[in-house]
Amino acid sequence: MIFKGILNGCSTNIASQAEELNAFIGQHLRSVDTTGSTIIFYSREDQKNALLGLTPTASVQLVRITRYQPENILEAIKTLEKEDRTELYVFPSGFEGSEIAVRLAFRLKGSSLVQVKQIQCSNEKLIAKKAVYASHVLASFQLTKKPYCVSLAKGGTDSQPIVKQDRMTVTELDMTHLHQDRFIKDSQSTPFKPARDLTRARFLVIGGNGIHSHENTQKLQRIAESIGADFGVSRPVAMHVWAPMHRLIGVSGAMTKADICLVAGVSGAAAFYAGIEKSKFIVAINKDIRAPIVKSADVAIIDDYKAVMNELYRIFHENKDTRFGEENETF
Amino acid sequence: MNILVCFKTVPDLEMLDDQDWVIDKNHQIDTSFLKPSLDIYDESALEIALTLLDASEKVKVPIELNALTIDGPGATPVLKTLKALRFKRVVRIDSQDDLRFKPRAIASVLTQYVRKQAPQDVLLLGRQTSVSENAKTHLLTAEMLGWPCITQVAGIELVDRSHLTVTSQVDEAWLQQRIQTPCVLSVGDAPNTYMRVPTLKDRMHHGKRPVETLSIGDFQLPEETEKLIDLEVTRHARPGILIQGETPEKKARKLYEVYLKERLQLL
Amino acid sequence: MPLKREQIVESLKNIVGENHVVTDEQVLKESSVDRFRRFEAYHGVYRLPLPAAVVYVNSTDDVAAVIKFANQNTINVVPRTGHSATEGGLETALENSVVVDASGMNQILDIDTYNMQATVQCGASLQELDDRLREQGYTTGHSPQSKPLAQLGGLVATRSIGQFSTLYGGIEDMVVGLEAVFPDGGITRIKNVPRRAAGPDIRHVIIGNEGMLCFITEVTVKIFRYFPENNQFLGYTLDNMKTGFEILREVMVNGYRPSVARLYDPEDGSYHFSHFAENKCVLIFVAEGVKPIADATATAIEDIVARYDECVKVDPRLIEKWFAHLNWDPANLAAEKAEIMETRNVCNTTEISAAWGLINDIYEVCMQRVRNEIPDLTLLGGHSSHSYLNGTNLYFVYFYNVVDCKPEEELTKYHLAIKKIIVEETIKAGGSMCHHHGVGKHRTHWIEQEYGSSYYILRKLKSAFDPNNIMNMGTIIPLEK
Repeated sequence: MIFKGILNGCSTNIASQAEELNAFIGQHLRSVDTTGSTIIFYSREDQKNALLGLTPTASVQLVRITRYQPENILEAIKTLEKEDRTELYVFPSGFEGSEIAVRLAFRLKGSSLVQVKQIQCSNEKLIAKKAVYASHVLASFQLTKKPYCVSLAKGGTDSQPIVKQDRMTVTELDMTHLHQDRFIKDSQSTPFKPARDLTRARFLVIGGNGIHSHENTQKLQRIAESIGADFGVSRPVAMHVWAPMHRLIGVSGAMTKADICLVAGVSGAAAFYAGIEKSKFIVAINKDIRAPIVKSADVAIIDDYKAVMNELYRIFHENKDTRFGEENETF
Repeated sequence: MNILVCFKTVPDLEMLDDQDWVIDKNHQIDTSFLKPSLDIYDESALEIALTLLDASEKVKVPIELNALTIDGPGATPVLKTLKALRFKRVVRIDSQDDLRFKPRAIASVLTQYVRKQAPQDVLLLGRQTSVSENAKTHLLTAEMLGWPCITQVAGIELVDRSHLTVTSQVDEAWLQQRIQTPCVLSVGDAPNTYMRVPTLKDRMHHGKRPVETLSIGDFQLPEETEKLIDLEVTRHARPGILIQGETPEKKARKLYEVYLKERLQLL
Repeated sequence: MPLKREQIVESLKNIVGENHVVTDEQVLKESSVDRFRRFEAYHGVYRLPLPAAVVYVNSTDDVAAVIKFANQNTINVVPRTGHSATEGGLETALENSVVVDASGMNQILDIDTYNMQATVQCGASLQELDDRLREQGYTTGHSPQSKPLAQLGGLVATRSIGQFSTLYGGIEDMVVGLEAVFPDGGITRIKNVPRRAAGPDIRHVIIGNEGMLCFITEVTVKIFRYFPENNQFLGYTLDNMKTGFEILREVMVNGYRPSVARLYDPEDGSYHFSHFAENKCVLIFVAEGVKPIADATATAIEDIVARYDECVKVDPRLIEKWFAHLNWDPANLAAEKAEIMETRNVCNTTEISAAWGLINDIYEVCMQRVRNEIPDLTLLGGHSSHSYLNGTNLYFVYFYNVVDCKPEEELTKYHLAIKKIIVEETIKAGGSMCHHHGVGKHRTHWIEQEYGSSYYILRKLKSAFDPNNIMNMGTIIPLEK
């Protein structure tokens, strides 16, 4: 199987993309006859060297572009696929990868599947599995036409750190001339206020709809941070703008795997739960014993989250486990 | 500017109890007894479209809002609501087929509709439905129409008759792009986009106009390039041990002493 | 000489201990209202006088001591348990009121499956009690929509009713005995006997008093054997409310007791059942109990309905699933608040009752008047959910957009305006303006019309038991102007 991994070197999470791709290749693409290469898109000259340390394959094409703009990226990949021999394209998790996978497959008359958790491939066919029915069900699909274009599921594979290749074949190309984006008259990007990468959080506190307000969300965040935890939220909280979108946990946000995960006021819909299911230890705090999260947690406290978090704050303070914050952060 | 919002109603899957998750030999899960409602991303798309209609008077750009779904008669109540909210053409393409995992077919139907029956300037769709989670329909439709596509849209502003400013989420930032139509826009997590509710008077004036019904048989359906093989229910049981105590404070203390203290030391 | 706020707080602390007296401003604000004023409360608007304190009591003696103190100092007391009231019954109408919260008195004291009764403190959770009973094969039979939140004290004080009342009755049919504290601090206990004719049934002085005569501290309710495996769900669509009322009447007058007998009009029906009943009325029955009775009841109902051609049967699973998810739970309420804040679309209700011969006319005139006279409605409908031998209730449900209107104006512009129409038409026709939510503080305006000459009895009860006017003033009986 001839495969290509596509990485977005313009993104700040290029390292996790690379590790994810590396793990996927390791798990699924070493046991069969495979030849692989990686395309890494980048926009700044000073990024090149660092990117060479992030390729999971010995063969890599470094492609310079103005910015990671889908129509241009598609054109670039299609141009690079001159000999039409790649059988499998693998894109990292995240919306950008998924989008390109589907559109590329269409242009190259292949098959696509996004958010793939596992694949089984032989020379003749590829079976891929992904979550459906709001993460309640795992579906298996056979991809019938090559090239197969898949994007990985967030949190689906473990990451595998890249070991720098001894002998690399590096090709450099400049595709800054591509201009398939003429429909864009101007553009402006406002970066999110950087938050710690929740996918790497080891101690996580998550607030859900049961927190009721922007003010309570902020308070919970302050308590969380003062006891040394990262803070995330479920979808309703982000949709009410009680917390910024980059704190979202779940299939459309961060997929986490904390050692300790404390979940307050969250009912536990499957699409959210998928974002914490890899946690080692889950604590649910909820007033409703019937909430789905209770059966899916290791332990649960059926009570008011404010009183519980206040007490935890006090306990952490007593034991001087508070990482920062001298003032009283309690509800 | 003609804007077509393509949407789907879905059952509320969180209403299913553990014993309801049963997959039959046709890879179907019976959800017929659940009340369908708008898929969350489609709801955002519809509300965003309505905000454009609100803006059209101020910016002096005439807008025609249209809505389309491929579904059985169960979608009719939502279609009537959309009529009451001033969607001009509201179309149901009647289909009793299992189109859950056939995004290519759906995209092709949408493309044929737009090309042959009702030209549009903008197609607006939700990112994916909770049932199929294909997340492909908007992309395939854009490819088939030969239109550009912007995903993860959270907001749209009207600029003039052929330009929009689209705000979308990219991995690390909000991206604002002023674009020229036509375009396919796919709505992701868009804050503050619960769909408004029509008044009874709106329902009486506009809601009674008929919904257009077409048949899926009127369209060519291509073969899918991915074939569903199997569905398997995922279960997440953990112990679910309830921490007892007379007060929340006592429970919190127990949580810390028995379960957290040692685990925290290992961090 | 009325006590100042600080003196009240100090005295309360001396009675129940400092830790049980709360004066936090947000708590006081939230304790000045109940669900009636939720729209303005969600917006942070609290127009009523803030209470001097919220006192959390842990025993009947606590309650007695606090009420006695209040009585001696003419301090308005608002008794509270679950805080789920919907009609303003928990509002603090007077300055420097004291809210006495007994939700901490939550013990289930005794479950007696031989004598078929359970005794609980007033703050015991109905959900918890019923769950505990169900584990053993019993049930209270009481299932109001507020079940996950409500507690027994408040449920008795408001003369509440549950979804299965057609079989099990309302709370008044379920109470065996109780204990209550009266304004003079006296603790009275009514013993548990199956029935007696030893003078008037004094339980009915207490059941439904909405905290304006006494403070209920302990309740004993009947328990019933529970056979959920025999439940039979029946659902039908039909064209006319009038037909629906006739069918309900037929079922009731022939002596059948389904636990549920409901009739939804097309609007209210479309909200719940649009997936199988577009523009149709919906009839729902649940037959329950030992198998022979459940089966016979279901068969009989099917036979009755079969005589009406316009009725079309629906898949019973649709009804079963819908029922399983009807009750309020904390997640629903959190979602409701956020949705109201974002869409400015609010739902409220007014429930009435009337004889069979009056109910359809009341339904039609109210629907027409409200539709014509009230702006910004997005849904107006109703359903009958509690039927009796001689009549039924009507639960009017209405959603409206709050348009060009400050939060504090919402009630006057919409909810109270709608309530006025429904109450006045119902009383005019000869029905009752309050089926099961209680009078609270917002139907007091019509209480004399509701009672007519019998208002004399209500007034005397108040003056006899609460001569100093300290118990939940403004409830049931309006404040004197």
